[in-house]
Amino acid sequence: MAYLQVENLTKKFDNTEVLKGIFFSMEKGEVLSIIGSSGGGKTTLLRCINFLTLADGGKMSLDGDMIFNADEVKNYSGNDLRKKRLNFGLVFQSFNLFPQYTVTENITLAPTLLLSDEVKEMTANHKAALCKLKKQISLSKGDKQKLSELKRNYKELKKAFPEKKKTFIAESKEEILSSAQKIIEKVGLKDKADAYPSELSGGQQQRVAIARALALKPKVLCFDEPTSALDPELTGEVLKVIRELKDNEGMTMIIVTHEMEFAKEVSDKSIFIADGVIAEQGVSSEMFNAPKTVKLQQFLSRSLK
Amino acid sequence: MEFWSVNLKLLEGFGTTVGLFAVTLILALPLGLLISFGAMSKFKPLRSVVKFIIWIIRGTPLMLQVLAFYYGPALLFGWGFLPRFVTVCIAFVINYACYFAEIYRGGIESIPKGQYEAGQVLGLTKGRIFGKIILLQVVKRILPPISNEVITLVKDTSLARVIMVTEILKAAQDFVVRGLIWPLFYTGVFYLAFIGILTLLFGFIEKKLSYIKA
Repeated sequence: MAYLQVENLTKKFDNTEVLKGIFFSMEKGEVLSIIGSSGGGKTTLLRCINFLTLADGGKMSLDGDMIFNADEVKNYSGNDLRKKRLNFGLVFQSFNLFPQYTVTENITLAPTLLLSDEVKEMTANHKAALCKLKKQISLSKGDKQKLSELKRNYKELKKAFPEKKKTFIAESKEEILSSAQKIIEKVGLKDKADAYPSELSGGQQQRVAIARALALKPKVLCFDEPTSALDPELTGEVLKVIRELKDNEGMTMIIVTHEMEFAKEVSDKSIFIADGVIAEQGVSSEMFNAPKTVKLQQFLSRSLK
Repeated sequence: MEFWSVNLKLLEGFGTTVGLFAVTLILALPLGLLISFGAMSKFKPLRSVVKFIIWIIRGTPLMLQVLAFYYGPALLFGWGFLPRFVTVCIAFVINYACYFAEIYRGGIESIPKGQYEAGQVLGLTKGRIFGKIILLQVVKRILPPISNEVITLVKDTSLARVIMVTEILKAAQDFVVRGLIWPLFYTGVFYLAFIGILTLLFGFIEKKLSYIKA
């Protein structure tokens, strides 16, 4: 089974069928481009994959797990969706950085909040363990030796926890920060670590957005027209980062793009979407050099002009 | 010594003014947020009811509302009167909460959808998206209209006199009856000083938030 498998995804808005049954699959470490004219459903497909909109029909599996099944959508709680979303990262066309946070804070915000969830869970587990011991103590009233041992355990457990929690938080925070610094360096913004988004160029902002998505270690990183909002001279730096992610990290990526040259060069496979269905898909080099369908031929000749 | 005794009386009235101002602000700011959530609710009946209440409150004079809260319970149900100051506070809190609610709503709706979606794809809960991402941006955007309302509130406190709550203007008018007219105009100094301080305060907060540029 492929790493990411999408089967028969459909989506309707009011009465317009935007996706009419999308099938595709990709392997780990592959880069997939999604191309097609505007309004064809590319962005909707990406949003469905990221659980920003829920598809009306179809299935999705990732790394062997069924992560989406339209028949079971009703049973997904908000928390389920939140966890499912974390499998994917998404870089938006318009960056969507948080203006009140610095570059570093933008990147560490989500990991820090997830850490606080983890700490909450840890505290709950600790309390449960204490409760269990207490029960045991009350059950072994007769056995003096066992009782004193249990009591000692209880005391030790209770006493050790605050320190354990403190070290855990401190260590995790340090890890979050140092990994953020590494990622910032990776996207070439070391000297901008403390800048606010408004102080950065579009290209720099988009690189921060990529870093922010990377910080959560997604299994698949998605891009929604990452260079469309940029001045032409700034697209290069963003594309370079994406290329490096492929070459150096083997990142699995899905890129909705208008940059045909880039799609041809970087992506292993491509999907051409027209009118809500995949009109053609295959190995990028073949598809761009020798498009089989008339639709793609026309699209490419229009796009490459 | 006349000047000082007048000052003393006016200060007493000013205390009531500031008290009404503070109570209204402290209660109406959070209540307004609650009302704005109601006005933006996806549950239509709730949204309709809240919008109807906002229409009533914004559609009638505050003075009328103060009178209604004071005389209403007695006239309609034959109940007793609430303490005057409490009545004024209730009317003011509800009135200002409705105005604040509409300001909040405008602010919240002006935040681009992308900010919510960015939070969503980062696995944040709805509460955290609002608390950690949206709220501060809203605060920055609504600060100018809020400061306008707050300044208006200072002057609106003078309406409390319609049910004989002796705020500063009423305190001054009590001198007029005794043939002393200057205290009435002298109250302007108190208002100006108070609003001057508030203006400085809002300027300070605005400056503090100026680093946020969306």
